[in-house]
Amino acid sequence: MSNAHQFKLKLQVNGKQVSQHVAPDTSLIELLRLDLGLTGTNQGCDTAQCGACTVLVDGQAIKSCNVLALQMQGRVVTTIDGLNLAPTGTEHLTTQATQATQTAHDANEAPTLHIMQQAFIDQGALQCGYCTSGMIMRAVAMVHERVAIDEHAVALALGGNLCRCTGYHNIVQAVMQGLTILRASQHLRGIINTDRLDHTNGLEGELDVSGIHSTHDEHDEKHKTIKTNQGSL
Amino acid sequence: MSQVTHYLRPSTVQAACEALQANPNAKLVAGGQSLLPTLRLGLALFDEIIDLQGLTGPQSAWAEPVAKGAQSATFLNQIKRNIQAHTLTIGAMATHAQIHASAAVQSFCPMLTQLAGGIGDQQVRNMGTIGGSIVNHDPAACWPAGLLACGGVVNIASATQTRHADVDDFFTGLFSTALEPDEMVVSVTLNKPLTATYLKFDQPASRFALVGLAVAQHAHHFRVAITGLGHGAIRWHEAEDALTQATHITHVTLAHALKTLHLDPERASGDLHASAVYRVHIAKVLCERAVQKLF
Repeated sequence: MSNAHQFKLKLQVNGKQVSQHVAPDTSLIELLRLDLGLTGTNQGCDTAQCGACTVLVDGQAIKSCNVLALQMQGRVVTTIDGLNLAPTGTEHLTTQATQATQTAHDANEAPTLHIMQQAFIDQGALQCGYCTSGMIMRAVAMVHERVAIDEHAVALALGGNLCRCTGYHNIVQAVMQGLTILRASQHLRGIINTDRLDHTNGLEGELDVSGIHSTHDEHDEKHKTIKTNQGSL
Repeated sequence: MSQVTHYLRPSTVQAACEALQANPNAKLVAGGQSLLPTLRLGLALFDEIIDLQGLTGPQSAWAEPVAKGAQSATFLNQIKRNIQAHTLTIGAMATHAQIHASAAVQSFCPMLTQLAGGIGDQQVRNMGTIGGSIVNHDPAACWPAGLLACGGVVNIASATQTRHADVDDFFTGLFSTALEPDEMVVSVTLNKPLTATYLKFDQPASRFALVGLAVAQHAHHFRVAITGLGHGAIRWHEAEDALTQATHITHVTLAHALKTLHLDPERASGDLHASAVYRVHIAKVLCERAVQKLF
């Protein structure tokens, strides 16, 4: 082990190998924000209550203020900063999203957004924005969970994320939009396979393939509406 | 400034136990979901962290570790059902999310699935473990009630021996267990109830149980366990006896058996959320509702 009570940590963050010496009581969010400069993840309560610091570890949402950086040895971490980058532990979640978003936008327009990020914009799902990165990371993890696309189920699944502006209505709508598109596109590509569904029975019933086209149309239309509104402001 | 100066990530239970024996001031960290807030708030004092994440197998809520080959036998997050013995063994490092998603747990006792899915929020369930929860024995934690209702043993290791503590003897009071300072929990082995349910009256801000109550019907007796009363999880023997002695198992006769029961408020404690009298009242109501739900 090294000097000054620092210990070696190797992990993958947003597709990059990271090798760093950290103190035993350094939390993951401190590593991400202070050592790696990834400030998209916000520090809220720092005691695992608000969810603003939510990131993905091996595709699962966790609160980065409430795990030690050293506990993440060898794990694959994705933050909001790298949501649309590949390869990551959530490549299967994001590649299609990036492509879809790219076609929906001017190809020269950078940076591209993840489908869930776009859904939050479309639905006006943020006020002060402090909770947003955590909300979006939590929502992205829901794609593979037994979360039905209805208001009650989504609100329940967002239970670990607080919005102090209390803008939950639009957040829930945004998550539903994002989940609908992400699940449909993955189903088309055969990414959601039956092996994985063994332990998450019920997911099949939520995939509505017939509604994909209308969903995309709706998505585009809403997007246009928002743009129009912004233009008139 | 922090007082934590040492860190160890053992890859075997034996190595973890030896490290614990060598430094009585060391703290085992499983998921860390209870420990980290206490560390952050300055409520915990220790100089060494023994990180147990190295003892787990594949980390995913939907990929249950499969016992194929000798190597995987060392994983501390395995869930194994013994059909002959009617028992289920859950590794101490199994996360709440993993247990909630486990087909083996669901087929063994759906009450455990439901209980695991109601702990904290998804982010906490993805990290927090059953071993960490029972060792911490927060007076409002759900797992102790679930374990007491099923009955079974807690499998414990130290550097020199392994032993099995009956769950009835394991939870000794508020934040205390029968675990010795040099011991760690390896797994829990639970008995299969005929039927069981867990009802939780949420404290809405923290999602801990203001009161939680589990009723389990076994072949020859009932077990009733309550968490959230304030002194740690307990069994409610009066209710167990009343249910066991009821002549017919229908919700009418069982509810009648519970009518005259008294749960002494001395067994609870009050805080800013609820008084002791209110807590025992809620426990009694939950018990009646649980019986109605089951029969």
